[in-house]
Amino acid sequence: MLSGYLVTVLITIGIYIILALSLNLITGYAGQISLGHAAFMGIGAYTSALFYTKAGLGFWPSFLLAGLVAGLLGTILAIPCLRVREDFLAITTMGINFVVEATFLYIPFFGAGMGIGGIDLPHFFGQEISKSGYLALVVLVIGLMIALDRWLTRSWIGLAWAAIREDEEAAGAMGIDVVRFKVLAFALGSAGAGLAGSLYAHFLTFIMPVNFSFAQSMVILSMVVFGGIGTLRGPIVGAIVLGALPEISRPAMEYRTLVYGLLLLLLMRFQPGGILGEHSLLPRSWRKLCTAMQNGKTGQ
Amino acid sequence: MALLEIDQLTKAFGGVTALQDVAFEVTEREILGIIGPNGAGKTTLFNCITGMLIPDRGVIRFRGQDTHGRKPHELALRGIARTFQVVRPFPTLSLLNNVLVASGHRAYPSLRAAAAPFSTPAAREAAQALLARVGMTGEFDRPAGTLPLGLKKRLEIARALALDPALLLLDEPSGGLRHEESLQLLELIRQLNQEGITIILIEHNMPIVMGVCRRLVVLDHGVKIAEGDPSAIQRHPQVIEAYLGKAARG
Amino acid sequence: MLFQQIANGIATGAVYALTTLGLTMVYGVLRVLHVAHAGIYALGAYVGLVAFRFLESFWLSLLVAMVVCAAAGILVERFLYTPLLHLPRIVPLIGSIGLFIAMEEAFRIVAGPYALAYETEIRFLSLGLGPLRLTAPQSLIFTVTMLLLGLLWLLLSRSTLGLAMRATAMDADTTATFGVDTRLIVSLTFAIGSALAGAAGVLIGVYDNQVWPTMGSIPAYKCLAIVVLGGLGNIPGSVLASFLIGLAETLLIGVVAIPFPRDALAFVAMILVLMFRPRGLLGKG
Ligand SMILES: Nc1ncnc2c1ncn2[C@@H]1O[C@H](COP(=O)(O)OP(=O)(O)OP(=O)(O)O)[C@@H](O)[C@H]1O
Ligand SMILES: [Mg+2]
Repeated sequence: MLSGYLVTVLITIGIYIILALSLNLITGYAGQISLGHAAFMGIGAYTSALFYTKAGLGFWPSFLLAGLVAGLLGTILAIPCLRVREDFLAITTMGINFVVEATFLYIPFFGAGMGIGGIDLPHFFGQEISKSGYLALVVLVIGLMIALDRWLTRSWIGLAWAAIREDEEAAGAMGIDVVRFKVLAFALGSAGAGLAGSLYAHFLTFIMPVNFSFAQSMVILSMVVFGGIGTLRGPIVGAIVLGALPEISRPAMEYRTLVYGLLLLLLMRFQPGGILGEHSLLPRSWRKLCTAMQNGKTGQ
Repeated sequence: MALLEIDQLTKAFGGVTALQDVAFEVTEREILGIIGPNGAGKTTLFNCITGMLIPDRGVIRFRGQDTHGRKPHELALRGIARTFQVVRPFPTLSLLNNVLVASGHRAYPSLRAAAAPFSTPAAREAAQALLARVGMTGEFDRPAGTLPLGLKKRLEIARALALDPALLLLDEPSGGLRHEESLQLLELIRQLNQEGITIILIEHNMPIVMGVCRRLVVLDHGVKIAEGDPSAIQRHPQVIEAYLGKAARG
Repeated sequence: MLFQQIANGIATGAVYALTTLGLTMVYGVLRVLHVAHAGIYALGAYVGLVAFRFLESFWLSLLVAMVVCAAAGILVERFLYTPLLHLPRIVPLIGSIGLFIAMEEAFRIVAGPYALAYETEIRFLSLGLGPLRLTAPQSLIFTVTMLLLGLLWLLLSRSTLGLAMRATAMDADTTATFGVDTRLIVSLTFAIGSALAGAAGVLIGVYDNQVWPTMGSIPAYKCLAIVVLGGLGNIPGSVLASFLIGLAETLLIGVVAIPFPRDALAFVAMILVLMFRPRGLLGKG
């Protein structure tokens, strides 16, 4: 049996994997820098929490509504983002995060600074699900996200995103409706963040605006970039490594944020594709090792 | 019948008038050459035709329909394809995927079709055929960014062809090509034209222009200074002054 | 009361202007979102404080802080940004965020998590115009800002160096063909921008009578919003946006008391303006 502590850590990491994979759709595949992903996680968490505690809906409808509402708001908020490009876009998404957080913080309906409590773990057949059961649920959602990722990257949608990421104007000249495909990326990515937010809320049972701050967005984005942006494995590994870092470095509590910052800095400086990016050292050496081994075999 | 009609087309950037009341027509299945000295407004003209720039004034009609307010992708879907003077392949995508991006024009308008896998054997084969058509061989899986300039230019033509265009706009396709490559290009342009594609060609390479175009439009400082068959253009005094004259003197 | 708030707004706007100027200049030459600029700002405050304790002169400590920050700016440019220029924008951005986090942590570990008191007896004339009176520290901030802005303006508009800096910001490749050492110009731009951030840090330290590790956290992002609001890379735009936001913050929140977090205001303003002018208030194109 997994210990309670371990399960808690694993659930947290799992939720980060969902967040990183969903952000990867927007920033990795479609190439639209988003510095406000936590806003959509927050929208999902608050949607779920409100439907669950105030409207008395069960976990499942709340969970699905969280994805739906976050996806819808992602679509709407993508509209200001479409008017601006590149660095203007990055700062606009940052702004959206601050404004969404401020909305939670200042509007009493959202519990203001007090947040929302009393959100329980889901119930199955009248019984509250165990922590391990919840972990299974998180893993299931991760599985769905991976399937979605595989499906999208193999589809014309994924190819259109890649073209937009590389050269927006040339993509338009190739018949790609740039606006539509960008909105699609924001909608899907935000919906994924919304689902993760709901899982987060029901796991924590208590949410506050600060959980969905800009700093949280940075954590998610660094996971994506750390592992290798625009790949499937990258965000997963990034979420696992950076998600586990605070736990592993517990003894060196004093220095862990410093290490985190330096890690990001040095990684970008020397391995800008992330640890598992297409052209990074690790995958390259791995491929070399594989060919060397194959050559060894054929040589015998 | 005129496939493309342009009238009173005007576009200025700040103080620079890149196009001033330009008017001409392109008939179906012809090859029209656009020539003119550097900065004459040739590329700007292409940008207006493809919807990448919005003209200040004037009309552009494609198949009789005003293209005003149409986005580049809409015009691409209606059959206007282009290459870029300064090449713009998608650098990290493979050669094959570069072409496939354009093949997707059938899928993109419907979300359902766009959700289907793109790398089907049929689509790959068609893309490979296009790459072979423009004279590219070898590894189609390498990233386009690693190609030498000449091959990037060919890749751009293959990509434009994948759009199944009715009108193909080529912006200095022979720039950076060696002599025999230019000859191949000339041949390709003729073939494409015979297959029914109307072509507008911006070109500084006079042998190519003279060899392939029946008709030329000459721009200088954004103004159309002459239009007609190549031999007449070569004798046109204003053209000699503005363009050929400089070349002759230089 | 109202006039006092206006005075506060002007002082706040002046500090924003100093900080965002560096950011805008740096963006102009390298097109990077220099989040760690706020780390340099905090560095300036710490260095200023230490220098003041030793030298016991405000002006000297201001100078020391500016010089140290200029050097730090060049270091950041040479080590972090220039090598990453050809890569996607997100790479230097994340690197910058990493550097900023590391700097904040370094301040906390070296100088302790608590605010250090910045005890200066500021003797400075207090400026005023009609009923509008600036306190002595406010007058100092305003004067130093105007002085530095004036110097910068002279430099940019009257000197060959300034011309080279503006040309590099417009089009580095073309400028290089005229024999200008654009690498040097980029470094100098970083040096000047960082010196201004350092000065802003010192002034805020003096104004608030304290210096603390996370004092750059809010400026790091708010200043980006202000810079974008003014039109990324546009110097007059940045100054205008800084004073507008400084005044809007103190007036809307302090006087009208709208229930809205002060630090999100710049972002709301930015998003609203970008809706109508996608390149900011004074941005072109
Ligand atoms: N996006 C733009 N912004 C500002 N000015 C532009 C822009 N595009 C073109 N121009 C200007 O418009 C004029 C025409 O440029 P254009 O690129 O159309 O010329 P061209 O005939 O294609 O020249 P070349 O033979 O060098 O390719 C030039 O003076 C150019 O500087
Ligand atoms: Mg041109």
